[in-house]
Amino acid sequence: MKIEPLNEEENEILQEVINIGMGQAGASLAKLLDVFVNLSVPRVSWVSDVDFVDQVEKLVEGHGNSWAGVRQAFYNQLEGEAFAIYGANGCQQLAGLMGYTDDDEDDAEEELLLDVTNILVGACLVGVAKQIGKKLDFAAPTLVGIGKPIEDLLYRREREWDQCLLIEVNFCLEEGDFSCHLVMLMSEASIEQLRSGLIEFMESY
Amino acid sequence: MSVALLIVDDSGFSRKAMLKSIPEGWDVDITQATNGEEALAALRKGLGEVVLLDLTMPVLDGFGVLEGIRDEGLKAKVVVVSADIQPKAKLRVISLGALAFLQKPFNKESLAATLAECGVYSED
Repeated sequence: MKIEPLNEEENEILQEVINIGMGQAGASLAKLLDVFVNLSVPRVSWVSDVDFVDQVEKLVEGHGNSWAGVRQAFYNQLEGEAFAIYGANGCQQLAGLMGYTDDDEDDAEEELLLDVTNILVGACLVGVAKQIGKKLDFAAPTLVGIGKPIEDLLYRREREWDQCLLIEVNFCLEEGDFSCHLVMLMSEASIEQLRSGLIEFMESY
Repeated sequence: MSVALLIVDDSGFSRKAMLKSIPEGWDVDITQATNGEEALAALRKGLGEVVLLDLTMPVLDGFGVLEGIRDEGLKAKVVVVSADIQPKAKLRVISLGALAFLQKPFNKESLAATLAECGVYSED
């Protein structure tokens, strides 16, 4: 069965709900890195699971072929898999902000990517779930790879999902920009939960 | 006499939520703007005695609007309504002249309480 994607009005609510989640993510990131974070409006779009890798590749075209990816599964009323994709610049910048140098062990960079992913994915999804009154739990994030092309990072998903939500987030730090792409794959049942929650949220006003 | 109220937010949903949450019986003339440039244009026409202002917006953000109000000497009582909950963001808007900061998601009660605190609306 093919489900209906969210309509324009539902997407508008989702966009604002994600915006609020990203405000929380920005505040957590500011605290972790001890900097002021200028937030920008996250860009949100839907694609089907079948061609989501192509879509993500198009989104990041021209920004190099070296990416880091972290995967985090979520389950309960909303169920799926999230990927956070970082460009080479973003990784270096994060490491620089944390005071890491090239001589440091790779472990330190990995740990930082896991921490930042936990914050971004957590704040985004928890923010969404809380506002629309749905339950959500997380598995621990795992590193899929560093210095790889996008397709290598994204093909390693747990299973096939129905829809994919692409979220483009830019955090502008005083020391320079740091951008990241969040890719959320979700089941059909979760999209229906999302839809009903968004409608209830809208009606609460 | 009715108050010129300007609602500034890039999200259509968020503007609708603000419209629905305005205290009943508050006599206002409402203008809406979807970014900071539009907000400043409305303010120059005197359409914003009281302003509900989002921070994260395209074209010109809420910080830019507060700077514009200050630099052009426009008269406006601004309440910032934002998802940016960094303590430094709040300090920055207050130092730029905003009267209050209301965190998103808001509701009817928190909006009315914030407006009352700023003395732009009274619940009686």
